[in-house]
Amino acid sequence: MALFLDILVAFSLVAIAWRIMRAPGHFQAVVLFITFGLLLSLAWARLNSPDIALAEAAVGAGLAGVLLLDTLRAVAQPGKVKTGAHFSWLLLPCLLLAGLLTLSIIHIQPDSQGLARAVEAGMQTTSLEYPVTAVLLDFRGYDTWLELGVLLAAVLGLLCVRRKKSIRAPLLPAPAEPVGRWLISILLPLILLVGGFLLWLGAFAPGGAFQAGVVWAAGGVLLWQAGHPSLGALPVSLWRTGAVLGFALFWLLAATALIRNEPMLTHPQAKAWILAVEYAAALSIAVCLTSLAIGGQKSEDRNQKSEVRDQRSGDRCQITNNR
Amino acid sequence: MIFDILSILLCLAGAFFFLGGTVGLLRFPDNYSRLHALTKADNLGLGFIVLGLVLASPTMPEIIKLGLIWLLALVGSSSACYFIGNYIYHTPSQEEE
Repeated sequence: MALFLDILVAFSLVAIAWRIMRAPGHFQAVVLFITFGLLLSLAWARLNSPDIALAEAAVGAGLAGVLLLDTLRAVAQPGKVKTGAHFSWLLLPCLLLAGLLTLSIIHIQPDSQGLARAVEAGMQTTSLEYPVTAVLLDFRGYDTWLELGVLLAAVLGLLCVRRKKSIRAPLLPAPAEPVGRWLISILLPLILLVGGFLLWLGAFAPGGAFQAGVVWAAGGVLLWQAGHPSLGALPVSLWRTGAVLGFALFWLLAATALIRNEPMLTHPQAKAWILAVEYAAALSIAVCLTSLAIGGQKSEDRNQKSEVRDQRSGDRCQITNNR
Repeated sequence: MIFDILSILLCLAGAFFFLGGTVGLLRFPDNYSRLHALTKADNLGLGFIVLGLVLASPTMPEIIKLGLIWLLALVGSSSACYFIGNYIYHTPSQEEE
């Protein structure tokens, strides 16, 4: 039964990937991509890696989907695109890559432990109980640091492209939406709770800064989409501090280690330190992702759109009145 | 034993509603009736499956969690239905033009 489920998931993944390539329009491709992300997270869950499943569901399906849909709205769609025709030259590189991947899978020993043993040996030296979080924040703190840097760079790039000094301007609320406001009053407390729970869970079970940050970012995007003014009312300095906090704490950690003449990113073995870094990272991820998702909007555009919408609904009313 | 049978029956009923919703989504003529089919699948199908799983679950926290999941899905699907319907209503369709 389990094997049947696995085969079903694997086949639908390939089928959806194929459908994404052949989708008649961009919108369908994006929706299919979101579906693909959800199925992929199911596959990761079946492979006993709940961390990646959580991250894939939150980032790959959720936030990437929002970003893609926003991009779609920003870029005027030039009608229907021809598919298949201009992808044919990709066939050879794709086949080559698939062959290489297959070769590498064949070369993995069936009883291979990978780096699991090394991590297990290192677990005694760290104060965290969960190996995945220990790898992300302790053994390979570098990677997490640079990931935070990438996010920060993306936000800065957005500000440059939009020629803005702060993210505040696009934070003006979207047109108010009664159901959206109702939804946010139910979902926002839950989102805060779930994000905090994931963050707290990261110390000893699947969860952690990235998952928590993405869940919070989803809350931020929802707040903005529902037309809630709270994000726009946030002071700019607070926003900036939130965005750089995680990166800055890692930087501080590296700098103090250098001053004390130790290898970089060594830190006193206290849980408080590592938890502070993790919590700051989660906050920064949330702020950066929210900025990315809503910062690309042109606020003037939206106002115009809502005016047009109001006019249109007004027209409708008139028509019905005339009838 | 009786709980097991009931649980399986309820899950099957849920699966039936999901199947019906999918068929409706594929076959119904316009967007509004497709939305209708979709939300029915979400509400009733998931409701029956949750009910079936509640009968099979051993502990109280699990039952509460299942119930909460169903409520959240209800909130999500009904709002999503409103948003899509609202968007369709405010966007002039191609047949009208």
